[in-house]
Amino acid sequence: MAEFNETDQTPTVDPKTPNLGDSTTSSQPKPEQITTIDVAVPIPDVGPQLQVVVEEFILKSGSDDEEVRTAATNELRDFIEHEEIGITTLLVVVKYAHEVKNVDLLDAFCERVADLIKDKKVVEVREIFGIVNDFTPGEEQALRYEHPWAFED
Amino acid sequence: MWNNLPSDLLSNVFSYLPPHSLARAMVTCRHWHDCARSTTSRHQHPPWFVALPTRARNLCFVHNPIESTWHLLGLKHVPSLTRPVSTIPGHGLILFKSTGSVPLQLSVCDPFTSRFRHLPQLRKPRTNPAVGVIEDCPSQFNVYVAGGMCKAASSGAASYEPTLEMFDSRSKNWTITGSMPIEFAVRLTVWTPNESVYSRGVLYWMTSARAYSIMGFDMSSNKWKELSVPMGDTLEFAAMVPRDGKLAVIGGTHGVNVLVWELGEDDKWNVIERMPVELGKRFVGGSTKCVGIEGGVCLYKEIAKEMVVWRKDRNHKNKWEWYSIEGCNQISGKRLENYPIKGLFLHPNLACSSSFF
Repeated sequence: MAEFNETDQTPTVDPKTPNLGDSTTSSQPKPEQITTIDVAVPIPDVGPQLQVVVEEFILKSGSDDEEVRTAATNELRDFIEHEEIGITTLLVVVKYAHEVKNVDLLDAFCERVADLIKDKKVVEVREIFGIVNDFTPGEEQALRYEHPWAFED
Repeated sequence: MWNNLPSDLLSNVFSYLPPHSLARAMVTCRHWHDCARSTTSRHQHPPWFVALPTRARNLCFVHNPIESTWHLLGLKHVPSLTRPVSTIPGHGLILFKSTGSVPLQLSVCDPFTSRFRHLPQLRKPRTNPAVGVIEDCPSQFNVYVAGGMCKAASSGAASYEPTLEMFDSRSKNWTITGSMPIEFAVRLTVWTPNESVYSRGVLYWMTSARAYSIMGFDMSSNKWKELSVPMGDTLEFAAMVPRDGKLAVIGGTHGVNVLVWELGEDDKWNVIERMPVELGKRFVGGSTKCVGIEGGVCLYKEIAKEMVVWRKDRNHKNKWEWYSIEGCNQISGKRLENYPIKGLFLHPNLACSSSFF
């Protein structure tokens, strides 16, 4: 759980570089005040709405109370299900969750990414994710031939 | 970019994909291919029904439950004089046994990658024992063999073998892990059940025909018990089904009455479901078979005939729904014979990470 660091100066809210240390103050982290892992890693720009959702989730996921954690996960998944989150933003969040090692945050967003891959054709997936095909035509053919049942449409 | 995300992150994403989407992800680019290969599926998707023609050893029909399509796989390495007996469903493997009066030889086959491997010889070679499977976790499974007949080395006379052997997929060895009263050895040999259900620490086997009854081996106390099957002497077909960790039985009389019972904590049976009458009309006359897995049951006849599935709803985890599936009578435009089949369920495993092979 992030620690609340008392300082002499009045805490300021700086919308450009949010600090995920705690929900009550937002201040520029000073090197000597950083005491826990997640506090030091600010979430990259993902838009104000998602940023709040992620910050709140990370806070609650550190709670000792299992009910709080479960409710937070459900709220997060609800949000993800109903909001359109752009592919670039998803990439940012997923990498961030991986970096701060928050398993529940990571799983929720990984599943959302999987939803974008599910049931789509190979060319569609490449287009959505901006993937460059680095197989030779022969290699790709051989791979398709390994599981022909997956490519029968 | 998405091309070069950390492998464990991509594998996490891929763990949520159903089999056909995972197969397609493997084709997008090299990095995705490598990550998909080492993905362990979370198995959140419905299991696949697999139909093996009893008289065409190298064919394997599979039904994709999401797209509701049939596909034909060729099984390249399955030797003659073997037949499929059950599956190791979480690992995506079919378990085969040798036919004829030779001592039992078991082997496993992955129909999606055509990998095939014999299990080593039993500690006590025997003919016609019961065969069971327990999967504890994605990286390990155990195969059990119970009863059967053994030839005494000296006299050459055959006798019932009252022991239970276990194969550990990690050590790749058989060990003798239990024994049984001779009456159980006899019944397990005579009925030679191949489908087992593991529930609440007990490995259950059911006789393969009427009058149905169940034998169970309690793993921790090493004790055997017998359970009667509801309507055991009237049912014309029946199968055991694991259901949320509990033991259930689905059974019916031809075309009229198909019921599902669940075993309660007091070892008493409760009716939990009845198949809708309209669906039952498909099973009037002829031999109906059924097979179950955690999350689904299938009633079937031959490959081209309509089948009925009772399955966990994808969207509402606690609801089960009845569906009918069209049989398969043609593949890629070619008409097919109406093969009699052995039906099984499994979760396709496309990752080569299975260390068993």
